[in-house]
Amino acid sequence: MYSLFKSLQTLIFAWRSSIRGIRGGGNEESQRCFILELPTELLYEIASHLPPISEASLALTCKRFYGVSRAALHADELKFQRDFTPFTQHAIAMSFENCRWQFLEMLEDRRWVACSKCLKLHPRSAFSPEELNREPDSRFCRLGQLAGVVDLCPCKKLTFQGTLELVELLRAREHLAALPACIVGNRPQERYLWHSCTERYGSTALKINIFPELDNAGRLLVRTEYHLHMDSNKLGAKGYITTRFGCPHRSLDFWLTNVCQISNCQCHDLGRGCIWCAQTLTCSSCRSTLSCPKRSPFRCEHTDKAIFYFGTLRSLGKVASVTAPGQEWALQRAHPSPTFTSTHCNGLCPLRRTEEPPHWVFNDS
Amino acid sequence: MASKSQDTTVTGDTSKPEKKLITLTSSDNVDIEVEREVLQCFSLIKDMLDDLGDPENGDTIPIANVSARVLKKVIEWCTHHRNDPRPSADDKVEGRDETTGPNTDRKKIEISEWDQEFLKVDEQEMLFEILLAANYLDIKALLDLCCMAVANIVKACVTPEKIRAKFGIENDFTPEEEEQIRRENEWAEQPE
Repeated sequence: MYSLFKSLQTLIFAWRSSIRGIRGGGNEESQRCFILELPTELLYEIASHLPPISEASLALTCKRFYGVSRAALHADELKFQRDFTPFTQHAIAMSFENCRWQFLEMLEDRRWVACSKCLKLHPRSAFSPEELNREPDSRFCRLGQLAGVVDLCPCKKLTFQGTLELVELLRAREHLAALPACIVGNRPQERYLWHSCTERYGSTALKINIFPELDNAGRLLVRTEYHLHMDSNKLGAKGYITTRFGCPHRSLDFWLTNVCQISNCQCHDLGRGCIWCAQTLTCSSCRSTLSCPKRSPFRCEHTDKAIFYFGTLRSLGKVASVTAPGQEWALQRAHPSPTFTSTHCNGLCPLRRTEEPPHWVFNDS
Repeated sequence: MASKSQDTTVTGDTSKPEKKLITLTSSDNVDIEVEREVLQCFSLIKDMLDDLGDPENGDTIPIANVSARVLKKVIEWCTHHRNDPRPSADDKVEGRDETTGPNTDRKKIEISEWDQEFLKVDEQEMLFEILLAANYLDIKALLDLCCMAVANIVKACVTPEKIRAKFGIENDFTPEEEEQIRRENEWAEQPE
């Protein structure tokens, strides 16, 4: 028995050392990489002890670790935060103290440098020499002070570069639609659903459809349709408010609450004639509008939830044939957080509701 | 037939109060005597002893993949941890689930002071040799400890470049591949 076991072991040993010999090659002693000599299952074992950000770093060291740990690169911590919530005291901290930003700073090297406006890495050539000498938290790229990030939905954030790419896509679609029917077939003119997602905020579910379009003046308009499924009679109630913003200046829930209350206004003109109604529908800072044709919710028979159907219209301004972001685009940025002045408020922004910088109780579980 | 006689030897052994020594032979042909009780940690050897019974007088157990230097370290660790509660079969299954499960469930085990001292080895080579030995000899707790120690080194390095330098990993990504990974994950973009 023992001799059999012995010979088996010797055989395995001989086989292993021959593998090592092949892998080792000539002058490996100085640069021998012990960690990559481990069998792959042990690499998985090591990776399982790492927090996501360290595992993502490990995945970027070489192709073998990329194969083992590439899933860590898709960790939520390394994506843009779900909601940019301006006005909160932590808005700035949220942008620069989160995992994603720390990770980007870590990835800085001879080639890539982080930009505090776009919250992304750019090649060094995208920065002026003075900017390269600055700290990452205050450095910005050649797009200038008006660069930033537009928050379209929990999973879609647009930098100015991303906006340009979206416009290019819309132009390509326009060209396609202009082709005669004999080439592309007879298709009905339909709106372009660019993105669709559903996000849960505690017991509330928010379905979002985004329809971008170019108007005749060449401006990029973003229509967003929302289906808000929530417990009955809880719209705008403490503990049920989502962290989502309809535009950078208005909490989606507060905005919708106010619009739904317009029917109480005595003007009977559904918000057109009366100043108060107009102010309710349109954001005084960025002129985005929220419309909710039926101002009361539908009731879902199966779940007994209230469903609000409403939409917002935001203009990102003229983006085509422009090389830097303009004022209109900049007004739609969620990062950097918009500066707030009380004259913009008109009693409709969330800040006025609590007077103090708000400590809202969000439904954010 | 044979198993019967072995069974009696095993029960005979456990009833004896004195410590029974078993000799292991390392890959570099050094004989090392170990208490049988300590060998309980070595799942590979333990299973073998359970199946085949203790070796006859004068016979040694060959440990073909582990050098004497490393084997002594491993025995040192097992001797210190001989009285640790051994994980039951159920625990093992749970542990496995954790490793293969979603990455959000990170293992959190504290490294004891003694273990920290134990792992203060001069060269990385030794740490990895112990890790491989623990894997080969199927000593789960020591394997976990070593993996954690390596993970801690990775954590301390922070950036990919420093991890590469620490472990001598060669960057085999082309600049284009690096760029693609950074773009795909929306970490990087090139303004026009």
